[in-house]
Amino acid sequence: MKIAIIVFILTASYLTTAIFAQALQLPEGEGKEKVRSTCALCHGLEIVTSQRLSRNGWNDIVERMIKWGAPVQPEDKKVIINYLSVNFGEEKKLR
Amino acid sequence: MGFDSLTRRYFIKRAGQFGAALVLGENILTRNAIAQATEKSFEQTVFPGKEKMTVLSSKPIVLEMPANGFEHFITPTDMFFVRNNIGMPVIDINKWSLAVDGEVNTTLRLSMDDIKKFKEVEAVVTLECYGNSRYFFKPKTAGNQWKKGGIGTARWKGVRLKDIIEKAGITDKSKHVVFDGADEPFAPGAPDFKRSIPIDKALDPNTLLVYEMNGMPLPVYHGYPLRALVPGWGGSAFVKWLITINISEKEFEGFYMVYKYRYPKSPVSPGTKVSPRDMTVLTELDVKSIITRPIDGEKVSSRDMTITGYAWTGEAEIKKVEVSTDLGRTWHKAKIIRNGGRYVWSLWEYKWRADRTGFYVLMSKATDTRGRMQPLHQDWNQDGYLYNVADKVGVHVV
Repeated sequence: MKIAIIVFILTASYLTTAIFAQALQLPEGEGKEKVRSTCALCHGLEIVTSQRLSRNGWNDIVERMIKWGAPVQPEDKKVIINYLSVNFGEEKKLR
Repeated sequence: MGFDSLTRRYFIKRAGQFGAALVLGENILTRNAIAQATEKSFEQTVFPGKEKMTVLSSKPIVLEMPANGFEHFITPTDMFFVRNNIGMPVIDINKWSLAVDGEVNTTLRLSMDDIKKFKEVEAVVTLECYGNSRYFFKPKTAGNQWKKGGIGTARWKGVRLKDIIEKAGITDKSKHVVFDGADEPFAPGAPDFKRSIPIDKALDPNTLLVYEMNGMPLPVYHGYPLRALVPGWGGSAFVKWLITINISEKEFEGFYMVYKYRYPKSPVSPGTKVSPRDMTVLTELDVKSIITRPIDGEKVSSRDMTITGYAWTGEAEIKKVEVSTDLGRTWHKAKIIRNGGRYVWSLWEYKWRADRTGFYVLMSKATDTRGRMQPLHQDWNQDGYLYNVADKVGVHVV
């Protein structure tokens, strides 16, 4: 029983951390939901928010991801590249 | 599925796994499936047993050692960096086995007990991610933004890969050894993580398959129950959660060989895109040193200080480390305090008295026994691998 309680407390506190940490938010802007729904299929979003790339750099990355299987609709590609370049461009400060 | 039911499902799954680990009194890291269950659903900032780490990515799990990890010559396991490429597997040791197949005389299927019958070998080896220090590239390159902490040194225990391959028996066509782990991609159809090394390196007596790290069974983060140890090479060759060793005539041509972990055959100007055919698979590390104390931006209250750091290299040993306190105008030989020898970092220090207060840039530059010296400017490459520019930290003497 004691073990069960310890397990409960540890797990509960752990889950709480996970739930709160889920609040890693993307900045508002056109394309945000598209980035979330396509990029996060295969990887977490920290790898997105921790980059600082030029528009060309983001263009290369998005093209590479599409080549590797990211399900990006042709009409969404520009929106996604623009969102990433505006919010995670070279001149943006790293948190 | 709603968030509530998802939460409940994972709660039950985790409670079971966590409970089992506690009841059995086992090293939680070796049996801990929590992180795996978690990384599929949540972005999080804490991983059990790795609470001190900086999370670079939660899916796949990528954790950087914080700067105080450098205080330990042998990196404590809870501070050792993690770089998964895809989803971390949970392995039941009773069902696990290692297959050795392909261009061999006899195909093998080995249990952990079978593996432990080979001669046991212990080795201290430094392991660095090929992308360590990517953060410092200019222009920026995409990928996990490692600062200095994509490296660590551990005491490993296992068996020689050579002994296992020789038991299977090689043929004229045995040219490459392909490692495959039990890890799986997050999305159906996404590429598996597999990588090959040339047979010569596989048969090197220093190349091991290890089941212990710092005196404990390998934690799941580090490849439980078995990982490759390919000293002097970068992390991607140290394949984790091994299940198959396939001996092949050709270098493996999967995603993580062709599109990642590849380096331009000849130098390119910064920003140049290079196609895979003009690049080769990364092999050994290059010579490198870093300053671990003082840390960048530190205010130092005494004009007398000890500058400390590590130096390491690939297929060679460290010959010397030099320090500059005047932006590289003059260099002074540092003292090697603890020489790690081949495949292990060396700890060095340089005692220095600043002749004034104010701002200084401290630099370190290593040379190895093959005459390779750290450059003062980077060889830029699009994926940001093998950064080894002479290290630089700014300090304020107050």
